[in-house]
Amino acid sequence: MAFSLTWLAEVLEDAGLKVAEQPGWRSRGRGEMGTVKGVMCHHTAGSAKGVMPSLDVITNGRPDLAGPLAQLGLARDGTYFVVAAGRCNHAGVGMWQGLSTGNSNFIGIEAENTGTANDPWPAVQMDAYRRGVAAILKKIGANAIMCCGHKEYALPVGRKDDPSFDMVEFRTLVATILAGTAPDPIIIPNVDADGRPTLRRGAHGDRVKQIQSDLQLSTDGIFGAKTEAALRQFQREHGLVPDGIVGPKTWASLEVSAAPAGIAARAPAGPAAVTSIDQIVEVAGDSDIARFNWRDRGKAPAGYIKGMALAFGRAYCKFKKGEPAALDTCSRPQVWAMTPRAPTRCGTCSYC
Amino acid sequence: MPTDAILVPVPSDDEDTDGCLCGLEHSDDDVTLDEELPIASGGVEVEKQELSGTDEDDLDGCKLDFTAGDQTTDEELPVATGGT
Repeated sequence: MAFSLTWLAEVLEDAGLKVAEQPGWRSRGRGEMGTVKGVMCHHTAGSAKGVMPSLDVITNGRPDLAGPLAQLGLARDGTYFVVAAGRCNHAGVGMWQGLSTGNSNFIGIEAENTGTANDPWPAVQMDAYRRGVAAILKKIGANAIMCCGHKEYALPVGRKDDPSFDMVEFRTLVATILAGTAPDPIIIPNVDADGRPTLRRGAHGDRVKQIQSDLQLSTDGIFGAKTEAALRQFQREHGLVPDGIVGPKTWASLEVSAAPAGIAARAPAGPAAVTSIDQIVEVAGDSDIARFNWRDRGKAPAGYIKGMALAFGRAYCKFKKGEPAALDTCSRPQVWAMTPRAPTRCGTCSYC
Repeated sequence: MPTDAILVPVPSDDEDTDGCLCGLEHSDDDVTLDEELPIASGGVEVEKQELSGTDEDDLDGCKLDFTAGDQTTDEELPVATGGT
């Protein structure tokens, strides 16, 4: 038996949002909803790790507290997880705009956040929060005042402190979306400037193999849950939105970060095998990075890669010898390597 | 891994139940790992499909060049009923 909120996923996706459906969500609930009058915002106060670590608890509750605990979970990457189409236990005792039956009349959104000062809300998550709330309010024909924070609804006053952001400002921005005066949502292009398609879980083929190779995974060419999780971790480590989608920014980051692996692959085996600057220069000159194309600047000028390898090699060798000034060395060799006409040599360093 | 919940009878005081997660103690055992999340869709530009030109769903019969032979004369109209 399906409950009445089966429109949730479609409404959110139509608003340009990323949506994932929990299996069985259409028939999950504590019973049927009453008339939907608004949306209630929460935060999970859950783990700081992962994009939606509280999803299982939202879905199934606890042994002492039956789930589902909210209709929607909002992940740190701005993805909505649709959990239930029926009533959920998220509100408790309270009052907002004359309504005191929060579980029956308000759709609950549990957004992943620890609720502490050292866990800032990602912009992509807040943007999705506002747009998702606006999409639901538009669907039910309500205005922004029918969006409340749990901390505003709960009684006695002060019983709850979620969500941790300012609800007045939040409603103001939701109102601009409803009025059509907010900027359009940022949608990930389906292809990047180099013609590479945006890929996500469910994709397969040689491009996926390339991604898996860059992530140092086994290359079966199938973009599954493990590839997605590894990609999310890569995105976190590189300051990207950890949404598990390989769009233009992630393609560029994968390309750059994969280049050193190309050098490593061509180097003689063993950590101590590269022992001289000449070897480093040789490996760099023969590597994929020597043919690297910057999107905005084109191919590296002749000698650039060799020069950079020289500079790195010299610093590395000196560092290994315990010389404290390893990084404060003559830069002429790399300039010398980059240009047809050598600059004046310093006369003091061993390489010049 | 999240599983489909079994519907349970709704307690009479369910309306006052507050299961908001910010009031719960979170255990490491309850954490949903990234690789356990369901597949997502949306948020990516959708390529617009070009009209095929042969599919009847794509045809627009609103503006046609009528010829005299296409006209339906008054005499050809079927008999009408009602309205009296």
